[in-house]
Amino acid sequence: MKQILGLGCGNQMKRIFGWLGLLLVAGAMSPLSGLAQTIHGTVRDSMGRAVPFVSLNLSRQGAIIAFTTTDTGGAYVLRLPGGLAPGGLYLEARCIGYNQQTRAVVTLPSTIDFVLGVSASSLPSVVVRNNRPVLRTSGDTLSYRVGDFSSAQDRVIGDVIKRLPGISVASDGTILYNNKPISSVYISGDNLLDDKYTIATNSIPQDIVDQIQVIDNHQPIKVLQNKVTSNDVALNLTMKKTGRIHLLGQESIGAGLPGNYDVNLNALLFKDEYKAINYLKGNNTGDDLQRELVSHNAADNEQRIGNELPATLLSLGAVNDPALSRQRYFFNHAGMLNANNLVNLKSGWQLRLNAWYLHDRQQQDYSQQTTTFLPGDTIQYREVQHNQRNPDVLHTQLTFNLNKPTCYFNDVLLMDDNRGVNYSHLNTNGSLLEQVFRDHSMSLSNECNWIGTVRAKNIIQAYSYISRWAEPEDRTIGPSYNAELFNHGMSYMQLVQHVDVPTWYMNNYVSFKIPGDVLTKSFRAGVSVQSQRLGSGLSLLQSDKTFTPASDSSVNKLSWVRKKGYAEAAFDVPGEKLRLSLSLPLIFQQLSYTDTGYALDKGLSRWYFNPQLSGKYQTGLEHFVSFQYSYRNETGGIEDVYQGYILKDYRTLYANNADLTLRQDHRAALGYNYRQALRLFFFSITMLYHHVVANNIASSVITNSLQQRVVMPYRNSMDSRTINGFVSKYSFRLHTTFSGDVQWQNSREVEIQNGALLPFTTTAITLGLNADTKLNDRIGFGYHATGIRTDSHSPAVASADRIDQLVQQAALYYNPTHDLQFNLSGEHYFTGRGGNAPLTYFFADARVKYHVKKWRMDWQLDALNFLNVRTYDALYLTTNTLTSSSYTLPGRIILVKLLFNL
Amino acid sequence: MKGILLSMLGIALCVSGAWAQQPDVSLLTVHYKFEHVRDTNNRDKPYTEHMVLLVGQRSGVYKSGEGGLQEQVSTNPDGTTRRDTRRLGSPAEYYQYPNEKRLVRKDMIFQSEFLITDVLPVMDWRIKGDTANLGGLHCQKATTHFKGRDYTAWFCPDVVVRVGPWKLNGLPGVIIEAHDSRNEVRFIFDGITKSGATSILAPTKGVKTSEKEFDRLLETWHKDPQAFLNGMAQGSDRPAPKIDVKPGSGAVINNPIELPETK
Repeated sequence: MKQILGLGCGNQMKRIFGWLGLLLVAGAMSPLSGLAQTIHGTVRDSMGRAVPFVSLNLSRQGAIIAFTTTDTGGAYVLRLPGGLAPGGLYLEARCIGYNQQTRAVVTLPSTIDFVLGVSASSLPSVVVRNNRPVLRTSGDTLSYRVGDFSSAQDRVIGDVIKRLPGISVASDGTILYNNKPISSVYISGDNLLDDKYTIATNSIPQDIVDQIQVIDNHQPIKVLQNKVTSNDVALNLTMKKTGRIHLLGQESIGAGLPGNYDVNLNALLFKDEYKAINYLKGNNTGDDLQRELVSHNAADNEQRIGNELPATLLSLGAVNDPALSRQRYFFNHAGMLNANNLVNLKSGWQLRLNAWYLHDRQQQDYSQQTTTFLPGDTIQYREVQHNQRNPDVLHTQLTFNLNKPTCYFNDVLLMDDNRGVNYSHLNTNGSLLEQVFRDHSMSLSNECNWIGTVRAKNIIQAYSYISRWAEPEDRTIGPSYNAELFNHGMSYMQLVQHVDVPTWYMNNYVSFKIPGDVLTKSFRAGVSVQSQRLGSGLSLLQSDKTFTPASDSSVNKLSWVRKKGYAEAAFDVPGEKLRLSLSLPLIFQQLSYTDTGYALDKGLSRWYFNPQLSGKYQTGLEHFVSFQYSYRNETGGIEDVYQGYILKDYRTLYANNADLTLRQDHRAALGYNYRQALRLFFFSITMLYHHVVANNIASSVITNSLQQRVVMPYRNSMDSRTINGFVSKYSFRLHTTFSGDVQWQNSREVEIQNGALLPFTTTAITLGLNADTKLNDRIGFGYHATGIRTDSHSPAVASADRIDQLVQQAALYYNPTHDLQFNLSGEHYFTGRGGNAPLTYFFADARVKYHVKKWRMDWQLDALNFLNVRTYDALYLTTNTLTSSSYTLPGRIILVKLLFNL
Repeated sequence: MKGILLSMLGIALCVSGAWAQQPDVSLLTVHYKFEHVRDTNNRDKPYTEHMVLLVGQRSGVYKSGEGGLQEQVSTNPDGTTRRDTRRLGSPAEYYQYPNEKRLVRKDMIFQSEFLITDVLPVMDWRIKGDTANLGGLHCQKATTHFKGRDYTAWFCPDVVVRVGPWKLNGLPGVIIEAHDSRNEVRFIFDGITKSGATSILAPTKGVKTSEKEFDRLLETWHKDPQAFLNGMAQGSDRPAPKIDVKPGSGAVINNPIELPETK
């Protein structure tokens, strides 16, 4: 009986605990039903005889919450945990030799008698295996044991994660659990990297990780736990003991032909009080190091902060990347020093430094032919480009964090300095041009968030964000580019475009939350101010080295101030069955922008209401329905109102002559998510509807040498519907994770080209299939296929375009001995467009790795693209434009690597 | 490929009222990888052993799965027979009878067998909502404190026998995995197989003793083996065997499974 009492005490339980305990100590086994919540009764067989030693298990949603056994007289008393409601409770009687019987518990306390029939079989079907993968669930946490899914050739934990049933990894490294992007990857519960988790998944050795845990409804802020709902899914990596004690490092040094190098030196530490991922990497084998620095939740972060910044305004020209995996086409000379260090102090404070510096020299050779189909006309461009980009990326982030059940503090000081000098030799429609583009973005920001409790349980929050950002851009094109247009037909040296948008931004608010039994009410009030200046000029460097303005309408001196005051009421229901979150913000926005050069002095003051509702209803222990609706009023930014022309690239002149863009954005989503964790089966389906109404529209005037974009005040709308399905299952029989995904997306929008209003419908269907087998420790096999069909159609143009793409990847792993590993992989690309001969490409890679015991080192020989494919041609279809491009590829690389561990 | 073997154990039972009289035989064998950090200065190298729990209809026996006593018989040059015995694995066997609330431990010191009969320890289990699939069996988590350690156990409600590895017992299903909070004592699930109908009748052969007395004898054996053998020979017809004690660096045990309660 002792164990039943120990299950927990409600208030009622506590009150009667004293004398109930006394009775129990006296050994009273007599029914106490009148005193506490109990279920009692007897168990007899069909002959009416008492059945002793029958197990009686009280369960809810398939999990036992209390149990007892019958005494020698067949009687039982089951004492229940305090505060238990009768709904959804079942009592089952189990005994070997008898049929199992289950009864619903309708009232409490109650008397339930069982009559059990004799059964022939005694024990259930039993699987006689031991080395099967195991998933464990604990509330919102699902745990994968790494050893069950890893194979000998896996190097880092990211190699294992992409093979886990229920998890998929997008091409940019974003990890999705049952098709939902995760918020972060924690390391033994510590947040070292925020959403830049590719740094961790690409560097933590898989053999030091014990478990990969998926945490659903993850609320990282302890003060808010069980009070404010979170739909986030986070991953946590738990380390083996070996990984928690020593400094670790997986080092590799490689050199090869033709003139290639690949170096990766790292030092990792995962102690409870100190965690570090520090490394130095460099290569010219096409491994893009910037892909490790991707912020996977950038859109969410931007929305949280509320500072809308214009993207880089200038470019060297629109260059599509080939639809190959990046390593296949990327020419680089990259080096990166990356340091991520976290210290947990005894006082509960956590200090963190994330800093990196990256330098790269990227080259690209391509030629392109662009065909635009217009009603009654077809326009073609031909270009040959040789581009070189030299990015220098410096990032420093300092974080101070305190996360206690009563108090939360987080301060992030961020400094970014990204600069690049980029060159392009260009041959466009027969004229030879040189372009130089200098781009330098700098930002400094501080985000501070404090949350504390007052009067026992109420929560108070203060938030402050301040930032300064600037990105001077300068681009020169010469000689004598489009002299007809820019210099009355006279030759000149360079066309110089300069633009910069220095920005100040701050956002401050206070909030007060009142948690209740069912509902947490939050009230928030704040102000934000954005102050910008857009300065730009297009000038000519004449042959006599003097500067003259290119035209009188290509100078901008635009000032912009956006002030917002907002008040918000929000309601959170963090229930077990139903989780709801409703936020009702009321915003007053005051905008003003002036440019004396164009006699522009405008303002806009408006109230906005941007409600948002999201929720999750648990239809069972492992399945739920989720829904979301949001309505947002969006106002364009400074890049929507400048009046002077900016030559964005050598083909695009851009100016605005309409009012500020106002958009109303509706989003609705409905999803169903199902899993059977113990059977390793996952399934989800999501439907999304997105509707945007805007008060103006971008219009393009296309001529043979320039494309001029002007914004026209026509009200228009864009609709998009998406259905997304995902299924993943581990087959115990085949030792294989199978997964598949399908997406159907249909979008309708309107474009104006050469004065004609063109509605466009684009439908894209994507199908993905994956199978990953770890047959045993010696043989493994992986197959991935992605097919995309894109149909683009406009009723105004007779032609409808369809592009089919299919990418198949297969890999075979074979380890004949413990010390020898072979890996052979291939990628097949198919691109087809109705009426044309399809393009097919095949790439193959091979790898041999040999472990030298005496040296405790591995030798690795890599043959990348050993079939030596050196050019790639592709077709791209976007609305009514067809682009045919040809790229130079790096060709075969043979690399010898020496690998060793610290 | 070893493949997956689904074995349907259809055991026809003759259910009369006479439960206790029926000799219980094993139906299933649960395999464990037992790990015990005996020496806290050497945590990287815990003692490990393959252990098995033979599960019957209402009882279980937990013992080594290493093969037990191995005997090699050879003939010496002088014509006499030479018998070399080697024990693989630990000698202790734990017989659990939950319905009778009885625990019988059979153990050995050198060649002497001992029987320790005791009340089956009662454990204050707290059932958790966590579930897992271990070897195809649906399991649930429970925790308890026992003999100085906090244990986490995974039990299988589908196998309704309240037994487990070592002395662990009392959950509404067989305990198929358990470990203490410091991961110093671990019974790691290593498979479940059909069992060859071995009897789980409590052994009767052996010197009946108490746990305290047994521990004292074991200590004697470690300190002075000859004294132990002489003691054992008293009351029997045979003289005590003479042995040569080879002093060696025995394994350090500074972290026994059962710890004193610190309160």
